Formats: sequence, structure tokens, C-alpha cells
Amino acid sequence: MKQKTQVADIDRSLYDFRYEEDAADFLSSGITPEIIREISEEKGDPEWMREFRLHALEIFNRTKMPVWGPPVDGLNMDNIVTYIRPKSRMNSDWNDVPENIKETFEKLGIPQAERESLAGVGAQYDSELVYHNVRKEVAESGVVYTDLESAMHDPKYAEMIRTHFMKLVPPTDHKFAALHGAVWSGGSFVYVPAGVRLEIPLQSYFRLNAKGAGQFEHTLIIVEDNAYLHFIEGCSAPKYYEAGLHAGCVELYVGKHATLRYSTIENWSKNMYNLNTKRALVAEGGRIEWVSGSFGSHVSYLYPMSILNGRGAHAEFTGITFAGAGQNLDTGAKIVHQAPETTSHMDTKSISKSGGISTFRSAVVVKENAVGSRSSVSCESLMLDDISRSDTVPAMDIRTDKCDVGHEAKIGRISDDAVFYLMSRGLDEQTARAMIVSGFADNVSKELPLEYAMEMNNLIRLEMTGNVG
Amino acid sequence: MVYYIYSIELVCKQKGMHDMDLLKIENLTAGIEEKELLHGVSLTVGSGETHVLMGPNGAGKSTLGYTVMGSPEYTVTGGTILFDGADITRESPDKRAKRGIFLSFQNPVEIPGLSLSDFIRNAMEQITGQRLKLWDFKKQLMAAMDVLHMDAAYADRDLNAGFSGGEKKKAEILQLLMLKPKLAILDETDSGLDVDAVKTVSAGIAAYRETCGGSLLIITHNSKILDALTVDRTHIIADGRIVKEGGAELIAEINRSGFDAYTGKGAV
Amino acid sequence: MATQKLNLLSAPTFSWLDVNGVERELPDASPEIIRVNANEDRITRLHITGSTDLTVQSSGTVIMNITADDAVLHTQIHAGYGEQIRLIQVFQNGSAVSEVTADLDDTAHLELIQLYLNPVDTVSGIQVHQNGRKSVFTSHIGYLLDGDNALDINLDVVQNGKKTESDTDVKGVLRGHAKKTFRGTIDFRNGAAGSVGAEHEEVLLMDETVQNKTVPVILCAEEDVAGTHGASIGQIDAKHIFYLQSRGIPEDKIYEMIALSKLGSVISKIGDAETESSVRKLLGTEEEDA
Repeated sequence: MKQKTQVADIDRSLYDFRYEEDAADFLSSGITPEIIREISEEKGDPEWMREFRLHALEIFNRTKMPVWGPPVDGLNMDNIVTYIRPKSRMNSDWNDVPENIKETFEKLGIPQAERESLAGVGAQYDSELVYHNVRKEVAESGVVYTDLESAMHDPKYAEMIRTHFMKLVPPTDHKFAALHGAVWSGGSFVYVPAGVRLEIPLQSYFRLNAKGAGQFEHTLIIVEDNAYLHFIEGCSAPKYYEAGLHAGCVELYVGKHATLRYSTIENWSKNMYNLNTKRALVAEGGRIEWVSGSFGSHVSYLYPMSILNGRGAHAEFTGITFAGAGQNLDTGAKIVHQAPETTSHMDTKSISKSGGISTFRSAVVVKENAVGSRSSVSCESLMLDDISRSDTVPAMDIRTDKCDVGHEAKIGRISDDAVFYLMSRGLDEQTARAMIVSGFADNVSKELPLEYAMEMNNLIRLEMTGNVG
Repeated sequence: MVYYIYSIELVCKQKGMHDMDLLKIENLTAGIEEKELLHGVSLTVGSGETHVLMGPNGAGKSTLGYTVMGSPEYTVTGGTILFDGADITRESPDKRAKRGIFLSFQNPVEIPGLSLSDFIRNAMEQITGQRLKLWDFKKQLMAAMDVLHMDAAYADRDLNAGFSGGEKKKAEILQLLMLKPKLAILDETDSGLDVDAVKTVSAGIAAYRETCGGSLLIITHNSKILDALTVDRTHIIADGRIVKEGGAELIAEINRSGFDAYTGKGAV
Repeated sequence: MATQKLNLLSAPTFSWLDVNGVERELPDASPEIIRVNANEDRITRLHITGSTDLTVQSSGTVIMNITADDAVLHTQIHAGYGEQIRLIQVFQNGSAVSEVTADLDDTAHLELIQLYLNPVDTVSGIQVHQNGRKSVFTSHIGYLLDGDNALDINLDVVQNGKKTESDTDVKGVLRGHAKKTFRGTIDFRNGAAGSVGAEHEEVLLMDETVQNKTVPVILCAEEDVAGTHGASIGQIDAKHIFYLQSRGIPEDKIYEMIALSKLGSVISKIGDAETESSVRKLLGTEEEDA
């Protein structure tokens, strides 16, 4: 039985600035330049950032919703401002937290203080001590790990941020990238100098002083040549926000022969629209390794993209998506080979249960100059009942003959033989099925640090049986 | 069963052959990427001779066979391979085949859409550089297939596609009979075959010897396949080195005592 | 002329990939109307040279040799209870917009064979509805594309009935500046318990200027099904090259042989000596003194 869990980085004060709102002004007009200026001022943005936000807003207003993917009807796009400045947040208390979330906390054995913190209604969980130790070790190695807003004001990093911020994911990318550009708040900045190999993983939940790692956080990581970093984002305990829109953005720059491993276990509460954008640019001989578990959210659009930009660059994506009741999780990855001899591998699993919908969506692009490149994709889906849905929508666009691209997809159910075998050894059916599903997910769990893997397995067991067991 | 083998037109390349070593491997080192698998192997096979190459698993037997054929999987880092007096160490596999080297594969590739007979005919035309009349070709093919107890229908089946293990081995020996090389390297041709199939394959190898008088380098664990043949020389390979050479009597010795005496570091 | 969006992908995806459909101007030609009541023992051979509306009913084999330019072809198939229909379409030279729609009743079997022998610009849609219990759909599709020619295929197999089976095997060769898109969907609907579906595409790329798009979709709303999808795109496996070289065949010749073998495996499924021989002649692989 698991007793402990990791704590999410939630800062209740995210959009908690005072604003004399006149509801009538916003109801029909959505976000105005005035609101953006106000946000910008409260954050003390440099001039370029204020301009950036206003420009992103223009793009947001003229960009159409995507024509594919799960419906986002539940999002009130005419009145998106309510997601940015939820009124209810200020008054929220523990009693407002939905029962199912409370039960999950209970079952995962999270202490009350942590529960309230995770639910965004209580005091910040204090892991300052742990954080200090980590911070010391990190600082000694020359690694910069801070919140993006502070870094933007630090003369040492200001220019670096200006030249990298939303350069990989421009606001023109899609409507929610534009929204992010206009209203982003909080997030991490990590800089790993050339040749530094950070042995301990950096975990985003340590960063508690960051202003609002929440709905619109921006993560910018620069790993210089020959360096190594493992960054872990999120945790298995559900993060609860009353206002259900998350439009974060992650930009990763991987230098020559550097490696960045980016692990995420995402378990947003099941009222959340998770429209997140993640992208990595990989230089010669560099590696990006994505490990991604998607368990939460009502609707997800999540396709981390790897741009292999230098000879011999490599991308790896290992993912699992578990869609339960009321969830429509559209996840996958995008890989662009645009340099010679680049390689990529995708290995994903998806599980659909209790009416949940999971979609695996991918794109593998091999450009004209990517001669000698190789790519392989393997995706497997498991249907746990006949009221759920599982779709697989991969696409490949190949523009050179000197490459080798493979794709394998499989869909099916838990085999009766496997269940029978385990039951014949004394396990009840529910446990047998839960074990088989955990085994199905081992592509991801074996890539995670042990405590995360255990948490993920608990989460699967919880989804399967209602108990951590 | 009627044997048509003697009706095969025998245009063997051995005719007029010169009296010298057919295959001469000198101090060959080769491996995959950084890993060296053959550490200076020397081995000579004379014209018309039958040699046996034995050794424990992973000793380098197949590596040697594939390297002589010019597999791009292995990189030669030193030494030379001479065939008929010519240095072929850096030659492409098709050029080696034209010179008269043949390798039977343990796992021949499957090519749907390319029939066994079209493939063999194509290969024969490439090797001889001459067009082959369809009628003559069919006659030869049917005769050779009879030796191997292969149903005539196999000629039109796709190359190795859906063939059982035994059928693939027979298809390899069929190519041996049709291409009539000067040197045939048979890589574990008998592995995974039942008693009857071993007999059939042995009959095929015997037919090759009788009709062409070609040389054989047989890589094997099994002495059954050697029963019908007169072995001239036996080579024992261990850890990428030839550790012992001798006559046919070595085979019996290995059958009796195994490779233990040769596997220790620095043995012999 | 009216511009239409054709070959719509069953589940639209990232717009920037430009695979959600294709636009073409359709000529306003009045089609020739053909009804074939096929016969089990008979092969119906049709030479299609212009816009056509074809209806096929009852068991039998229909072979369409298509050399039409700027033509619109509709082929409607209804395979009733237990019927076995074979439809063979050979697209040559010209440009056409073709659509095959097929409805399969209980235990019906439709076998579709399509060969694209370097047509200039072809848009080909195939909609199969396996509403019938234990209905079977098998297809073999082969294409050889060269020059600036373009081919856009959309195969959508809807498996609705219980215990249905579908199996699609696609083999293609692209050369020159050829552009090809293949969308293949297996769509297991709720209630299709006990169904299986498989699809595989193999593409051999022979010039650095080719463009290949492959979109293998599986949609699934039923637990008790098994679906597989595979695609392999690129050059000839080094192991294949070595094997053929070791038999004396030089590398450039190997590419030629393998390219023809891809189509050869589809041609051999036609099952009509006359058509097979004429197709092989077109490809220059017919034996000269057989």
C-alpha cells in the first residue's frame, strides 16, 4: 500500500490579482487588449513581452478552432476570459472539491494538507527543505533552475529568454498557442551549461516559489552541447482546478550531443480541457526522450513534437494514455526528420474503459534532406469494454527514398486465456485484469524513476479496481 | 521415383580449370562494427575438394561463410580472400557469385511476387551473361527439382514466401544445382531438418558433386549430411580462430568428445 | 466542371499534413450506365474508356480495364447473402476519379483487386460496408507510379456485422517525381463483436524526388475485435540485396526485380490468365517464348 505521493506545483494566487471587474464588459467580448495590458503590468513584463502578448492576442482572435480532434464544445470560447480569471477561485474551499477527487486523494493516501494544496484550495504544501537541498546541488553544477518570470528580469538570462521564448512554438501555431502567448503566467526556466550532466532529475513540483505553475505555465529548457538533463513534470495525484482550461507550453532546446529526457505523468482533474503544446529542437547528435503518461483531463490535445535538426539527432517517444468515463484523450507525437541520418522511435499504448475515448494521433515527416533516416512507430490499443472507443490516426509524409520508415498498430482486448491463467493461480478476475493492464503499460513504467512507476501502477490499479490494493 | 539428374546439361565451369587452390583465405580479420569476430583466419580449399568447418556456437563459422560471400553486415579489417587466384576481398557479392561462389543461407529472404523459377532463371542469365531459352531452362529446372523431391508447382511459387524451413533449404539446394558454382558454402543446411529431408538434401549435394565436381565447404553440426560424401579436410574453428585441422577422422573425434578441448582460451 | 473535395479521411488529422482529402474538378459528363448480373462461371470483361456508372450484383468476376481520361467512374456492388464477387480494376495511363461502394450482406465475400499501372492522375475511393454477419472483404492493391504522376487512394472499410473479416494488402513502387497518398481505414463499429481486420502497405521508393503519404487509421468502438495495421516505407532491405547479389544479380537489376515483384504479387491474384498476361505485357515482364 502506497502512503506517500508527490505534490503538484499549484499556486493558488495565479490569477488572484485584483481587478474591478464589470461582468457586463467581458461576457460578450472575451479578452481585450486592456486585460492583456493589465496582466502584463501586474507581472512587470519588459516592453517586448507586453508587445508579444498583445500580438498573440490578435493572432488568437483571428485563428480558427482546429477542424480535427475531440470536441471542445464545453469550452466557452466567446467568454474565454472566465478561464483566465475565474471568479470562483477566490472563494473556493475544500467543500467545493468534487467527491471523486477527494476519494482519490484518500485512496492514494495523501495527507490532508497536501490534498488541499493539490486541490488548489489550501495552503502550499511545504517541501521547502527538500527543495533547498536540490537547489544547492543543482546550483553547484552551474545549472540554472528558476521560474521563468524571475529569469526574464535577470540581466544574465533576459536576452536568452527573449531569443528563445515562443520561437519553437510560435503563437501562430494554433489557437491555444496564441492564447498562451497572450496570457502565459508562471513556469520554469532551466539552463544546463555545456558538458554538465545532471544526475538527479529536476522535478517541477520542487519549484514552489514559482508564481503559478498552473493553467498557462511556460516551460523553457536549454540544454547545451554534451549536457544531460532529466526533467520530470507533474505527478500522479490529481490536480484540481475549478476553471477547466489548461493551455501550457513547453519549449526544449537540445544542443549537440546533448540528451534531454522529459517525463510527464499528467493527472488533471476530469473537468479539465488540456490543450498543451510541447516541442523540442534537437541539434546534431542530440537526443530527446519523451516519457508521457496521460491519465487525467476531460479532453486532451497533446502531441509533443520533436524536430530533428542536426545530423544523427534522435527522438524517442514512450507514452501511455488511459481514458476512463467521461474522458476524450487525443494524444500522440509528431516527429520531423530534417537532417541526414536522424532516427526516431515511438512506442505508445492506449487504454479505453467505461465509455472513455482514447485517440492515438501521430505524424512522422521525413524531409528531402533527411537522407539515411530511420523511423519506427509502434502503437497498441486495448479496449476494456464495448462502450468505450479507441482510434488510431497516424500519418507519414516521406520525401526521400533513402530512408526506412515503419509503422505497426494493433488493437484488441485482454485475452481470455491470460485472465484464465492468472485466475487459475488464485487471483480474482478484477485483480487479474488490473495486472494485465499494468503489464500492458510497462513500456512507460520501465522508463520512469521507480517511485513514479509505482505511482503510475497505483493509478492504473485505481482506475481498474477502485482500490490501490 | 525417376531420377532425371543425368539429363541435366552439364556445362560445368570446372572444365579446363587450372591446377591451383580455389579458395585461399589468408589471415582474415573481420567483424561487425567495432567487434572483431574473426581473428586472423587462414583456410584453403582446393578444386573439387570437400571441406568441413566445425565449431561451437558463436565460434565464427557463419561469419566466415558470410564474409567469403561479401555480406555488407561484416567488415573485413585485414587479410585477403583469393578465389581462383584473384583478390576478391573487396568485391561485391554479385561479382563473387559470377566468379563461382555460392552460399546457402540459413534464413533465405522471402520475396513475394517473384517466382522461384523467374528468380533462378534471372540469376543464371546474370551469371552466364547469356539469354536462356525458356524450354531448356524448364527442362533443367524440373530435373533438378526431381532430385530434391520438389513438387513442380514450387517453380511458380513466390521465392521462399510461405515456404516451410525444409522447403527453404531445398530451394537453396535447387539454386545450387542450377547455378553450378565452383565453390558451394553450405551454412547449416541440415539444421532443423527431419531425417527424410536430410536424405533429400544430401542427395542434392551428392548430385552437385557428381555433375559439377565443384568444391564444398560445409558448415555443420551434423555428420549425417556428410555420410554420402568423401571429406578431404576438416577445420575446427573456435573463438574466431582455426584451432585444428585434419582429415575426415576429425569429425568422428568431435562427435565423440565435442569441442571442449578447443574452447578454452589459447587452446592449441 | 465543379470542384469537389474527395477521398475525405475517416478521422481528420493535423491540417498541415494535407491528408484530410483531395480537391478535384469533376467533369459534367453523362455516364454510360452498365449493369452486370455476374455469373459464377463467367468472367465479365469491360473496357472502360469514359465516365461510367456500373452496378454489380450476384456472384461472379468483373474485370474493368480502365483507360479513361477525365472520367468519373462509379462502381456499386451489392453482395447478397453468401454471394462471392470479385472486382478487378486495372487503371492504365489516363486520369480518372473512381469510386467503389460495396455493401456486403451475411457471409458475402468481396475480393477487390486494383492495379495502378502508372496512371497520370487518379483519385480512387473505396467504401466497403460489411453490415452482414461473417462477411469477408479481401483486397490486393498494387501501384507503380513514375514521372510526375499522382495517385490518391482512400480505402474505408466499415465492419458493422458480427464476425466480419477484412484484409487489405497494398504494395507499391514510386519513381521519378511521383506523388502518392494512401489512406486506409479499418472502422470497427459497436456491435462488430468477433471481427478481425488487417491492413498492410509496403512502399518501395526508388528516387529521391518521390513523395509518399501513408495514413493507416483504425477506428474502434467494440471490445471483442482484433485489428492490425502495418506500413513499411523506404528502400529494399539490405538483407534482400545481399541475398540476391549472392546469386549473381547486380544491384541495379535487383531494384528492377523487386519493383516488379511488388506488382507481380498483386497480378498473380487476378486469377484470369488473359488479363494477367496482358498486364504483364504492359509491364514488360511477360516471358517471350513461353
